[in-house]
Amino acid sequence: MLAKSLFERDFKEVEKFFPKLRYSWSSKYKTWIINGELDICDSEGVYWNTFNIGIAVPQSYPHCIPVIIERTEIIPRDIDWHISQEGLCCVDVSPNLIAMSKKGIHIYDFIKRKIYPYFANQIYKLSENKYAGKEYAHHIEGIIQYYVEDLYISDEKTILLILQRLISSPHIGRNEKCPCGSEKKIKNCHQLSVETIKSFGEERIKSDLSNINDYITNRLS
Amino acid sequence: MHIFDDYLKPIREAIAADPKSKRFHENLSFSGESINKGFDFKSFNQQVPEKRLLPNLADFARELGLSPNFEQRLGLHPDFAHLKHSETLEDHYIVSMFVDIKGSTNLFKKYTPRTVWIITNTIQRAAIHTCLIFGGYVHRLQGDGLFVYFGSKNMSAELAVKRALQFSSVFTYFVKEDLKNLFYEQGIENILTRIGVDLGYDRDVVWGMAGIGEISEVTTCSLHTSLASKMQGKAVSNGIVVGEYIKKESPLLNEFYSTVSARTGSESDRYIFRNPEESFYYTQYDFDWLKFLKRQDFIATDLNGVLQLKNKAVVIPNRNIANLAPIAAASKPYYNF
Repeated sequence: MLAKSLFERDFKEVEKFFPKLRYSWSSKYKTWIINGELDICDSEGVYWNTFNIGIAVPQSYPHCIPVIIERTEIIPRDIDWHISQEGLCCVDVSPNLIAMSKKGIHIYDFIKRKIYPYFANQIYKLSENKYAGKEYAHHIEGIIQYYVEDLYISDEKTILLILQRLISSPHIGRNEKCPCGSEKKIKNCHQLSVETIKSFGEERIKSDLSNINDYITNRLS
Repeated sequence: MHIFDDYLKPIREAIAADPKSKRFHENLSFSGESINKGFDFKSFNQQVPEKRLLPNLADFARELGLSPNFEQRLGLHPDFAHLKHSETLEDHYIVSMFVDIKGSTNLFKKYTPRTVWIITNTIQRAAIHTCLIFGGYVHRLQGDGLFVYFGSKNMSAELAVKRALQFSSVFTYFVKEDLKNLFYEQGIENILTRIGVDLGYDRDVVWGMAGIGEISEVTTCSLHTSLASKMQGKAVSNGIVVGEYIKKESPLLNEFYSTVSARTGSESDRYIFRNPEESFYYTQYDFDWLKFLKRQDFIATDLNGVLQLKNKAVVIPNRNIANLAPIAAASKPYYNF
């Protein structure tokens, strides 16, 4: 018998907590396909609703970003509900997902921390007309919001400074000055944020820099 | 799952009122007067009525769209009642199930016999009520346990098998989780269940009256009824062992079955019955009831892996959106399509 892959071994944990999800392998797309129902209960264990979902997990697992689709159509197909017309669900901002994929995900953890709360939040909004927590703005504004709120970079100008520095010279010693312009040593300033940005890879840093630049230019014009 | 919460309450109260237990814990004097204080049949009957489901279990029945038939009599399956005092025999399939409840003897160490009576009778009534919801027929009470049939002239063998598996899974969950937690609080050894289930087809089962006069019952004579009893003895604690025909009638559930020999590591446990002359070798299987239960439409699993009743069919009074907020707030969605 063939040894089970890491994904198959990790899926054992999914079966325990999300027993109505099942997986198969698509050799055509070189992707693990998870299909089934996700039941949502609250913190008291009270059941609220069930979503029929699909999750595509690329072969590069655990270094990958799963793609989630909702088929029940419980969620209105509207940009403000963070779902595409086809039902593709945007569970988190892309740099966050990239950072997770670089570290490597665990499929159970990903469903528990990203997918389950996303659907619980949609039920919450259906009832209360607002999300329980925060949401990212759409498109590039959401990326800027990520840099500000998650990486503690104060403003657009500072984001650009850090991204430019990382493209021109990615290595920054712990005792060197922080590229944010604070005059502090980086170890006492944006060390963690810079490490996270570096994990996105050069291509993504370049595209973020270019997109943020374009966004600022368009806004000014 | 909370469907048996109302059945746990009288057990808790009986334990709390038990004079022997009080003496055990508080070193109080043990008098005959307090024994009587700890027991009240009338209040027990009010708390766990014979012919009425307690509220949570009634909600559960509504969720399933099923209603129990309380008008049954022991040893008299309604479809075969006409065989009583007759000389007729009939061939008809049946699912036989033996539910054994073990560990109640330990209760006598800590409680008076009257408290033990309330505990064991509440468990038995919970079992009977649940069995009736799933359309089972309680054929005989055996100590604390039950001998139950599933199936009737208007029900397919496939559905009878499904109902039998649903009942046995729900009841085992009650014993393994709810009762375990209650007795754990009391610091006493656990009560557990072992269940054996088998299906005999029309060709395998003879129905007829056994006994004499009123010392009689309408019962089955079948290898598979005997095997169900035998397989119950092969089950692990809180386990269910089923015969090959049960597996055959539930092809979509194959992933929940594994041979008993795979568990014990002994090839001699593969078959529960062998008849080499007719090349008949009958396999016994462990049934993964928890996995099966988690997949049922009426069950949801919460984030902690705890089974919850879906309650789509009933209004849930304690449903509060504020309890969804802590989970929902962990999400911060984005849009970039």
